[in-house]
Amino acid sequence: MGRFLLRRVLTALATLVVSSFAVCMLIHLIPGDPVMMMMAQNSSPTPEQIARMRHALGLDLPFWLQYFHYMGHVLRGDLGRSIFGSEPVATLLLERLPNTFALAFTGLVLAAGMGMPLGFLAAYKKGTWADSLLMMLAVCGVSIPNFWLGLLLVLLFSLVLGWLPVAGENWASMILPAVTLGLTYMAIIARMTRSSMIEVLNEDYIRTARAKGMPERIVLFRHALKPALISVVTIIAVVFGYLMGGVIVVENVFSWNGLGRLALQAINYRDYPLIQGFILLFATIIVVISLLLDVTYAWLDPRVSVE
Amino acid sequence: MDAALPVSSDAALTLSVRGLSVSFRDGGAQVPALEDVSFDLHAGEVLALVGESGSGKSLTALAIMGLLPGGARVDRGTVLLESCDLVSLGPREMTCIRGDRMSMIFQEPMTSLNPVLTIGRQLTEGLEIHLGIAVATASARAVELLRLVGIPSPERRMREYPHQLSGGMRQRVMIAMAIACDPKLIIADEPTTALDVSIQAQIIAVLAEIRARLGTAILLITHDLGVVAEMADRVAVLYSGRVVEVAEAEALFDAPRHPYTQGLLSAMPRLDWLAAEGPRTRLAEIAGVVPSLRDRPDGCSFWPRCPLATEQCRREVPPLISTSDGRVAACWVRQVAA
Amino acid sequence: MVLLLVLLAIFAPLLAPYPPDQIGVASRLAVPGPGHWLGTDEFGRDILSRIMYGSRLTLYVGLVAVGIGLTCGISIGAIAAYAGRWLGGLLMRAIDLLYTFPDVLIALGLVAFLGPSLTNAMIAVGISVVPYYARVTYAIVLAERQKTYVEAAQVVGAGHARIIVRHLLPNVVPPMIVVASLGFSAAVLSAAALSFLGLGAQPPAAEWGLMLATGRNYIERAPWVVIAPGMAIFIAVMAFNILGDGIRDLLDPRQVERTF
Repeated sequence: MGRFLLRRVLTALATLVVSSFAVCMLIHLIPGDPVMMMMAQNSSPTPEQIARMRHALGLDLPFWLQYFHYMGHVLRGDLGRSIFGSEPVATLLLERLPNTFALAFTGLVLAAGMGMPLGFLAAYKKGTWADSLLMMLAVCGVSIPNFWLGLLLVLLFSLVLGWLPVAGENWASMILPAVTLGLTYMAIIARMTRSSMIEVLNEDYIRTARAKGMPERIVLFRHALKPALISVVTIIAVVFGYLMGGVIVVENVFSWNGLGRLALQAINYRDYPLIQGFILLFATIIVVISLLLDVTYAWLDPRVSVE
Repeated sequence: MDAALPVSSDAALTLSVRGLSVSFRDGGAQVPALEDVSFDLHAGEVLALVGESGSGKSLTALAIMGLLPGGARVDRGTVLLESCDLVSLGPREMTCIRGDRMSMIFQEPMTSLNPVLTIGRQLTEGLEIHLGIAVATASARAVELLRLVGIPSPERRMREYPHQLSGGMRQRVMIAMAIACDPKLIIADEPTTALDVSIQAQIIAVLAEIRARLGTAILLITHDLGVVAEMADRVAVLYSGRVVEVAEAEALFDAPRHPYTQGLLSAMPRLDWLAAEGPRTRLAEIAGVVPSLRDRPDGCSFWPRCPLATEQCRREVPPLISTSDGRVAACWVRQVAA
Repeated sequence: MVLLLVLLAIFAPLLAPYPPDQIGVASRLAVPGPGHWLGTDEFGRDILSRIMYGSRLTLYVGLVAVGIGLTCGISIGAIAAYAGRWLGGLLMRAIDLLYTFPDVLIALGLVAFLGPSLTNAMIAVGISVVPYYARVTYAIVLAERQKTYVEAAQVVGAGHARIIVRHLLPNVVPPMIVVASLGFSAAVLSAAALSFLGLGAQPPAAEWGLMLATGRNYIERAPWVVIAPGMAIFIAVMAFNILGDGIRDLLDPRQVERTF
């Protein structure tokens, strides 16, 4: 267990280092001179202004030092200043983080809460019409564009029925975006849960349990469910990554005041420090959550935890 | 033909399989996998069911246990466990009998134990369900069982998970689970095949001791004639889903009646070395290959590979019948010759 | 379904009742009816025609993105599997790292700095799916490499390039078709999402995601401007998903794990 944890934490750290390096280097993707692009709004920047900006971004340093310059600031909690409004990037991001987190978490809970039982059911009823129906719905679920689903839900529940607000900041206005996320990712979770449960049900030890004369209830809930749940944790780790991508889009559909919406505004204003900060924060969230899920997995699975 | 099977008078009949036929659904058609399989097993006796892969040994075992895989079904026949017909029982009643009055040991000790439950949990659950005893009593009995199958420091093992045990130890746990409720019948499906040769002997010794101490009847399924020679009282030879010969083990090794049995045995001297190699090595001695179930020839399934085949063998399935010297085989030629 | 989509894209000019950009001031946001089967948008453009033309963009985007993903993915995967433990390990660590992040995030990050345009969106989506293809290739090549015929070829003295091209690639192709088909649907979905966010196709292109984005402003008055293009994306993505699943079931149900 200790070794596993250590290795997993080191991998996560390495991932963060490399992705922060990539984020730092993104600025060189900007066609032309990044400083000039960033100052495009200022009709005639003075040479001093340009030089100051260049220095602030560390672009006057040799290439290999730029990363250390950037990271030096990042580790002190300084992600630079937004080009527009000139607020610290870190402040802007932290303001929006709770909103995004609440939405993503609710979406994940909905997706897992519906997807897992449906996947188990489909696996247990494998080959019946219920299974076929569920899996057909799942194909629809993985194919439906989340932004379209969101708009359809708005159309139905807000505009036609008038039950829920189109946008806003309160709990009621979180229902639609969370359901949108939940429905799209439920399909993936159901599919993956089904195949892992089918695999478990085909295991020799399930046959052993039946040969011992265990009632079907015990075979399912004691012998099959736990190993299947363990692999579902890994599934959820994978799905969480996708869901974080979906959050960016869905936030913009519902004008949900989170990181995804902030990111889009930043992209439209070419606010590069803000974009960098956003990507870095998102990457960190994903790495940390998948680390946590992996640890949960190790804790659940005796093959890893008892060593 | 049933009458042809010799019944030893001294021991009670534990298991009696009569005319058991099992078929598979393959696409739209039903493909017969077992045809008219019959044999008897007495209390305290070890009957070996011998045959190559695909001959239907394991299927016979699963049919008796009522654990046929999806798509397979029993078409005809009876399976009497102490005069109770298992084929006619519903799933609920079978659940009560499995693990209690009969139990099974599987080939793969590595995958047959649940990896996320402790040894103790897997041992006690059967006791709790079938005997209705309390957890504490069940635990005490489980420790006793582990000791009986020769597992050192059983109290500690109870709390461990399968992956912490070696293959041989796991198979001992499987045996402990199988004997937990004092069954009348244990079906051991290739119990030693997946193990190292040195461990194989230990497992056979454990099984032999169980039989001696508890008087349990054992249906031993194997393709390893070495194991048969060591353990079995009687042998039933299965070929392509049919029983082709039944005999006392010693008599069978001395003078096999069915040409297929002879073929099997003629490969024996090499067996001692190649015990773990699988059936193909052995088969080198018999020309041709085992027919697939889908295109089994008419008549005796063995005739295309049989040196003695006659016109009758190609047309009619030979019944399992007593020959004049008191042996039982399904062969037209031997029947006439004897 | 996929075939229908391809035919639709090829024959869009013949099938479409109107040119996709023809503006009709008199018929703005017209209700679906005999004149305009799916209604018109805020400029009076016929939505059915725009969707038909949009299928060309969709297939084009999908092809380019999957093309980029496949080319880079297969090369990286094959080289990683074939190269020594050190280089191969390093490459795959890098791929695993990219794989940790959702492809939308990667694509978004790239487009943010490259600038919003359909071309950049295609490149970004293409790059974002590279890890997926690389991993599948790596797994297959690694498995194939250990088989005897590769050893035999090495013994005979065939060069590395020759072994990769002649012996390994043919075995990679069938599962790759499945992965490509499933990846196609993912790429179409990502690209549509980028366009929806205003980071892909720019007006007045007849791109489904973009049509949705502009249409959402009129959702209350004219819901059809939102329903139709979204349905088109949905059907196209589903078509490729079903195709991929179908081919996979035909080939070998166990070989390719599904992650999309």
